[in-house]
Amino acid sequence: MSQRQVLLVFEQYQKARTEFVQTVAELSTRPQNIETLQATGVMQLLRPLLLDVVPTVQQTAALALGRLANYNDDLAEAVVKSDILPQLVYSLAEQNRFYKKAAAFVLRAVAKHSPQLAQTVVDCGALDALVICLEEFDPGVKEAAAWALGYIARHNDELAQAVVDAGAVPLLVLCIQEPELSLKRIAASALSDICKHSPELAQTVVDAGAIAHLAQMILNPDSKLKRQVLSAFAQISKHSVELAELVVEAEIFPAVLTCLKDSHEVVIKNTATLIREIAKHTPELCQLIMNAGGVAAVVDYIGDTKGNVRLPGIMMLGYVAAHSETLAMAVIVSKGVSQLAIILSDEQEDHIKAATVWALGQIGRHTPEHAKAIAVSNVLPKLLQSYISPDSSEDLQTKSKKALKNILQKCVYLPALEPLLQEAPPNILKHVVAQYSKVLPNDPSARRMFVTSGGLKKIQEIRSEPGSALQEHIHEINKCFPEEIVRYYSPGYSEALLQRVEGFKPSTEMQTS
Amino acid sequence: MSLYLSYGKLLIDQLDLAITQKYEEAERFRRTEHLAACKLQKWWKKILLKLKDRKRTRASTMVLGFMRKVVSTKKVELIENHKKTMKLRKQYGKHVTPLQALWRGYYSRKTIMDFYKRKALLEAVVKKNEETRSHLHKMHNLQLRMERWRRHSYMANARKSIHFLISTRAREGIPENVIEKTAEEAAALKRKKRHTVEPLVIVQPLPSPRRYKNYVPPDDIECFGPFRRKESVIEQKNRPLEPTLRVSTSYNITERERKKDKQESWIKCIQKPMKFATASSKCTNYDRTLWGHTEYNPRDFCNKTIRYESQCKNKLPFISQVPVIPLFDRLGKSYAERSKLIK
Repeated sequence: MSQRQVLLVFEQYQKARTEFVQTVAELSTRPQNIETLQATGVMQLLRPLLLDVVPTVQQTAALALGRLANYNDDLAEAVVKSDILPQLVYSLAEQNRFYKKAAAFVLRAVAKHSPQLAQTVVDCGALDALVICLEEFDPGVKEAAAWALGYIARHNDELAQAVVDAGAVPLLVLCIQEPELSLKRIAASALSDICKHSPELAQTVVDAGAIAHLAQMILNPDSKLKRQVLSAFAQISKHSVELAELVVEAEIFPAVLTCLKDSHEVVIKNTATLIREIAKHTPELCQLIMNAGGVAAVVDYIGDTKGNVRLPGIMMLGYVAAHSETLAMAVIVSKGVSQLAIILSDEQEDHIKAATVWALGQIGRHTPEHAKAIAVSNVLPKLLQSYISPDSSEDLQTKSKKALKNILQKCVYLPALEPLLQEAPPNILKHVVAQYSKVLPNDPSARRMFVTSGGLKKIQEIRSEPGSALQEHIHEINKCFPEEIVRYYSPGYSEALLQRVEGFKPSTEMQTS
Repeated sequence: MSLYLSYGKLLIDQLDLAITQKYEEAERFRRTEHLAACKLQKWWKKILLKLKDRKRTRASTMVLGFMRKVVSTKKVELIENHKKTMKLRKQYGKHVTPLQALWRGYYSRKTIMDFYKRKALLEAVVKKNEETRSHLHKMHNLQLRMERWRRHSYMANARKSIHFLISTRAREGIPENVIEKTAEEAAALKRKKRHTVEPLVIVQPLPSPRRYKNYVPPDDIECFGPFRRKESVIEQKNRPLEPTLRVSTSYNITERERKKDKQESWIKCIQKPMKFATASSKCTNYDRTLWGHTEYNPRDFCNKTIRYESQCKNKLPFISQVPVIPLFDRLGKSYAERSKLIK
């Protein structure tokens, strides 16, 4: 055989390998092919191709493995069991940028499924190699490495700590400053995944100077970047007052309020989450948000959106109102109560209704003025309905009861209490009757209204245990009216009168005359 | 002697007895006197005491009376003062209480809960809310306009780039080469205003394909749009044919050549040593699926349920697929035997 013929054999073999690996990579993009590929033992075939002399074959094999591992955790486990990871980690330091991208993709695809798989990736020494990739010149390599690090860190705080200990945070902060948009997104997402676990990790990210760079990107026109930046800020702020103040000092208000009008729902939701996490800490931070017009912006946003998107906004209003009566009054004047009342009647999800009910309770619990603002919006019957409805979840019923109790204890607006008198169960009725017993002794016109509206009759029909608080309040109310009127409205009085009529014997004088 | 003694004893005894009786008598007398004296003293002491008591009682009564008088006077004074005070309080209370209530209300509103400040704060909040709402509304409209402009510019660029394919305002002629545009034409295009509607020119229908070969656009019709100049068209048509040795090549010829060069360089270069991964002790052996040992030899490349591993003891002996060699037959040897020897 001539040399040419011998070389031809090898060329054909190389061509076959290249074609095979490219076809497998293409087939693995479609989910319907994955099971067939798995059944044919594609992992075992691709593993030796990672060591192929032809770089294209290596890269394509790595890409195919990454796509397979990305599909489900069984395949990812198969990748781990096939001892592919050490080779990939070793090659990350040695190979060219295309292979590095593919290898980082495989690591990401394996780590994303579960904390155990992510731990396996970390145990293979992938973190150091990925951190070195963050110093690469090629932005694609940096993006792939940052993505893999983010997927490792997102599972639990131990893995996130491992990523931080590997020195990834300063490099990620540098990646945020790069001009490539996709790299910025991924780096912001990775920082957000690191921050979310504990205050110490969030502090590490803050100490690396991330806040200033993230704050500059809030008004970036790219929605995907904005959502990651806002998510990162929310994860930093949620842990403590100091961190929230650091975020606020970056002068994100009022610029961040414009994100509430974004066309993408995720951006809006993340913005509301950020504002909520800042507002929940102290009244001063709530005051700052209020001074920036944040309350009105949030009220408008919960009116324009539906479903889970509006949930952080509802909670934010509740947190603001909970701090002090002035802030609660600010929520009322910003038309928050009417919007929350609309949400309570329109929404079907119990957890959103529960949040709304809780927010209304926080607004109305401070003074009679606040309770009146709630009562005037015709919210009390809806709260009662949420409490007594058998379709309501346990959480919704508990929150409704608590909110009703808090509002009723301050409510002296009697027209709003009348519907509750007719329908409320005994544990709510006692609070309603208690409020009547406070108001009626001092207000003659209210007493007249009480009688004409049938309230007095309803009070007499209530059965209460002797010595209970309810009976005492009923007794207090009865003392406000003349005895004959109380007797007139007491149940069974008409029958007693008729019996008296039957038993009456006319006098003899009458008979003789 | 004994008689005298006894008589003397008797006398002594009698004397003793008499003395004793005298003593007893005297004692009795003394006792009586003592008792009488005691009685007398008692009687006298009693009188003395009574006299003393009388004095003391009188003195104490006087003192007590005096003190009681003082105390009761003071009590009466106090009661009277209290009555006077209540009377005065009632009298002035009607006028002073409203003043005090006014002051206390003002003071509490100023220091404890400043309702004026709160009112001003709430008014400022309402004002700020309105400003924020209008600002956000403007920002939202601006964003929508930007979005619309971006989409419009995207569509306009797309329309420009595929104008030749979809334009309904095609004119007869050959598409113009942009590079050949003169400077005057380029300046004229720049000066051309936007959104001007070009007048529709009624175009004569294109000639049939058979006649198109010799077709030249007539002189009187001017071609609008991105078409070449008539002169360049005529020049190209009249250019003499200059055939070359270059044959038609495929679109990706350069890529193929590059690959070929790469292969050749691979063939020629010295191979780098292969790097193998450091396998762990737990790693499984690489299973060459093409060359397994089963009933079906070589292994069929198909479903797992069909393939199965045979047990070691049931392994079939090596059976050569190579045709029988006459020399081996002559010598009585076989591959199977050889394989056993090797083992």
